Amino acid sequence: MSNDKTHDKADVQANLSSVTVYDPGARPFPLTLTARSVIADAIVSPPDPNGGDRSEEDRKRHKDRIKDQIKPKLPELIGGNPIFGDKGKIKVPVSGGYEPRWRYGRDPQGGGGGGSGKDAGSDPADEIFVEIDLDELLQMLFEEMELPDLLKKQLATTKVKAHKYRGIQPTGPKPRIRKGDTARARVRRSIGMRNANPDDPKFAALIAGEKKKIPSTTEVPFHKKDFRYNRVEETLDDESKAVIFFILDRSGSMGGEPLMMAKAFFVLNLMFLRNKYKDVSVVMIAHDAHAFRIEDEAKWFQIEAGGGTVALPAYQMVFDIAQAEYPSATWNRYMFQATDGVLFDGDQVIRDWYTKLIKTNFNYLGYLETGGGGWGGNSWQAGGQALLHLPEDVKKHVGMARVDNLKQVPDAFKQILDKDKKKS
Amino acid sequence: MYEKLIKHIRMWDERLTSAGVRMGLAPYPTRYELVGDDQMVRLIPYVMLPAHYRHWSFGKRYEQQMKDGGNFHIFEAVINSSPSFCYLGATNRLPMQVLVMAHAKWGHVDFFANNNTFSDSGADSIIERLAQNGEFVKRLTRDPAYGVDKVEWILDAAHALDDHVGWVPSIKDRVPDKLVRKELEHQLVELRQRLRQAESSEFESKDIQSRMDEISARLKRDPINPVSDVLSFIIDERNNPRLGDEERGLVAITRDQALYLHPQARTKFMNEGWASYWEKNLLLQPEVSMPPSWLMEMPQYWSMHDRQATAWYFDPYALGLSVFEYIDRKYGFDEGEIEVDAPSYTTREATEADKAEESDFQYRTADGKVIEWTGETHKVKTIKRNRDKMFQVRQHHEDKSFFREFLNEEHVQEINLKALDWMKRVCGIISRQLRSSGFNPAVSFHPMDDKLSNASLEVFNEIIETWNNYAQQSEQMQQQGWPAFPVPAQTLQAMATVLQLVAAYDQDKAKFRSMMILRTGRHSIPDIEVIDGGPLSQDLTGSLTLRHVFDPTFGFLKQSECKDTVRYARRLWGRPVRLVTVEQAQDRWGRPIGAPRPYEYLCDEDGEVRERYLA
Repeated sequence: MSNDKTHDKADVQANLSSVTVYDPGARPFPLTLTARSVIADAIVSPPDPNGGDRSEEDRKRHKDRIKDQIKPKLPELIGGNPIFGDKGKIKVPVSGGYEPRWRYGRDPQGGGGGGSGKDAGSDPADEIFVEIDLDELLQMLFEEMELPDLLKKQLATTKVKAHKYRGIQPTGPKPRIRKGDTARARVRRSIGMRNANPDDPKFAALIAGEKKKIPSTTEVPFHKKDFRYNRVEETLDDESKAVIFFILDRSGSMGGEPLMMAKAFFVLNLMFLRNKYKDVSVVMIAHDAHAFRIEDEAKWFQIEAGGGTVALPAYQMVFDIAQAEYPSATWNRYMFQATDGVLFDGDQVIRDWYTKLIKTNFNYLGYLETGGGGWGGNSWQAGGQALLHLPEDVKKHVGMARVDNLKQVPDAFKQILDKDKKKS
Repeated sequence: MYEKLIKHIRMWDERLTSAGVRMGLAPYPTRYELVGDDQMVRLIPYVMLPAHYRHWSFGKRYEQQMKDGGNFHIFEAVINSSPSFCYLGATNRLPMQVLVMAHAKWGHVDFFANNNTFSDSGADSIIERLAQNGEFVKRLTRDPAYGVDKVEWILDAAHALDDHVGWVPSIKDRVPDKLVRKELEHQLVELRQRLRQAESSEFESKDIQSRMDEISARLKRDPINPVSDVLSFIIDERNNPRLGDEERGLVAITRDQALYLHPQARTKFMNEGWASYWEKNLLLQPEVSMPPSWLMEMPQYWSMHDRQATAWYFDPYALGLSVFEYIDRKYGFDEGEIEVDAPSYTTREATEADKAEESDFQYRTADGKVIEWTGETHKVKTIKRNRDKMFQVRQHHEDKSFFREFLNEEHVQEINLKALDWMKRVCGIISRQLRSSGFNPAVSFHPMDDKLSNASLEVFNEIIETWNNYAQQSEQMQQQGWPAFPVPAQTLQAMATVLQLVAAYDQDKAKFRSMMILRTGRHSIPDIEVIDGGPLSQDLTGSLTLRHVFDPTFGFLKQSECKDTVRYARRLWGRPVRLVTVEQAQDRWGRPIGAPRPYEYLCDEDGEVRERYLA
């Protein structure tokens, strides 16, 4: 390893002649001083541009271990941190991995006996921010919601609308081969070979000019350069544009979990429709006793509950915006409403509005009732009740579902959209 | 693109070497590595070690340091090994690089090489050991029969215990257990004989009986003398045949690396003080011949660590430097003139091209002329200073003894006076600020005012309080348009702390000094030792009994983590593990009830931890 051991004081003296080496006296440990030299021949290495990130693997492993901590925080994240607002990494505050030691200190009060490891006295120094990116977050969200696989696939992959043949390429799969072009290419090549070798008997027939005799494939076999295949372009449906109106009930009764469920529902909707249509616009409207249009997605996801519950202004706003900015000629229009159902509009008002929206060419309306706010029971609240009595022709364009907790959201989502699928 | 930088670094290294060797410094051969900022930051979780086994806890530490402000700039990183590696930040400017070289190689590496605490740290082989350990862990992780989960299972437990590897200095001439055991058995036999003979006096036989009981109780336990190296006890096959070979290897790796790092913890203050001393004194030597333009920015770097007066009490760099300078002042003396070789140079006027190319590789005099090194040397007379005492201290002391001997009353008094002087100056600055900002003149206290000319601590305290109140008030009133108080809260805090420290010292000198000593080394780690569990133990359950040596200065163990650590110990031991400590009941507001009593944590076969008072 270190061949410096062969040097000793004499060498140092020779190297630096006008210098006396200080010897602080006999040392009891033979390890160090006697066989060392101090050479003024420093090795300086430049930075290694490919020096990888040593901590990467460890960080990843750590993240895996604390993933279970991130999952329960997902509803809060959707509530607080926007998913789509921050296209880069999202910082999740978690407690770093637990590393107990024997150390001095007292636990925060939980009685004299101390709590169990992870809850009592989580060290504030342990709080770190773990970065996850969008895909990981959605992955975890889906796992948490226990989406059935089919739905996951639909949301994950981009749906291709059209395959168009555009041009020719030299490689490809057999089904796409262009026979005519390939054959002609071979012939052209054999003509070229003839011109290069006029004496070759293979080409005698060609030269003679009688009845264009094409050399057979045993004489001039196909070369890989001859092959021609169709080139395929995958395009998304260019034509389709969609606009989604989200109506979020942010009245006081929606505090806490119902609000989170509503937001999760919207996330799913948004993703689904973004995959289905190339160009999706979102109009976000929140209402309590008045309606507000929210421009910024970040603000949308940070909405907190508070206020009365009247949906009418929201419907009015949807209608107005739809008429003004999104004419049905070019836009597929959708509206999804999430509420806890306790609307003070009156049944008929709600019904009238739904009817009106359908009649003015909204593709589909979805209604999600979030329970779990203590309203209890499996029955519909006022809003749901109202919609149950919609006229039939309207009802088939309206999907309804109830959810009580986050896990039911995907099912509700499917349920609502199933109807839409049947129709489209 | 680094060739120029490297060339100049080598030039300066040569000069530093000639100066350093003359001063008597003798570091290991050092290799410099330039690293980018991001690479430097990544070294920190691994204690700057170039190779390390993989473990998630380092990922966590990385995230933690990132959260705490991942943009701090590391200047130097150097490790205790021979040859040593010193990492230089590639983005640092050349004067800073030279400073770092002096600090790291001629300070730290020299200290590692010559201080007795490091003599057993295995600097020669540490790099290879690290690589081997990393390979071992990697091999186990990749082995399908083993896998990362199992590796982590063991390493997590070993890490939890890696503070307890026998840092309590063991008494080297302590009689080994075998001999003690023999001696005690011998005594027992003797006592038994005497008991049979001494039937007459009941008192005497009771006395003999009690002594026999005492000795038997001691003999029941194995080891008889408590062992503070818990991990080595667990690794030893004679004590713990249940640990598989791979597991044993993993725990041994943890212990080895903990032992390697331990001397650095025990000498932190000395080490940083030593390095701070030489980063200044070495650069001032004639062999180094720093260009005058650098000499003007160096003091800024030299004083990087004592911007606040509180640093003189707490910061390892400032405090260590202060003590070393004290030693130098007190024990060093000038021996006379000698001649040394200093590099020669010529100066010339700066041309347009020079002015355009202003870079660190151009050396300038104070008035802007360009320096050209001729490559030769000329004789320069300089004063030789005798620093024998400092070198002796370097070799023989560690932080505890260093402070005990040299952070004496005289020196603490010097520090206090320096701090109070700082206070006065800051008060003056603040007062001027207050006056010019238009605050009530009554609140600006100038040291030249009568009130302050004989300022005592009480007066200062009053002043600080007044200012604190004002600061709070203006913060609250800021919305109403009051001007902000021109002093940052931090400064006021620092001043208050200084006053507290000086007052504490005046009150109880001995206690103050012992508090300073207690802040060194690994005092804040509980002292846990093995008192039973060896093969000769008469405990049939085969349990490992650990004892926490209670220190009233530091108090009780944190219960939640203690339970889980005992569980980890059980994981490595395979049989029940018991920890005996001292606990005190608390009511629901956290106030203590009753006296501290012995307390036990027992983690038995099923992994459950039960706690109870023993008395």
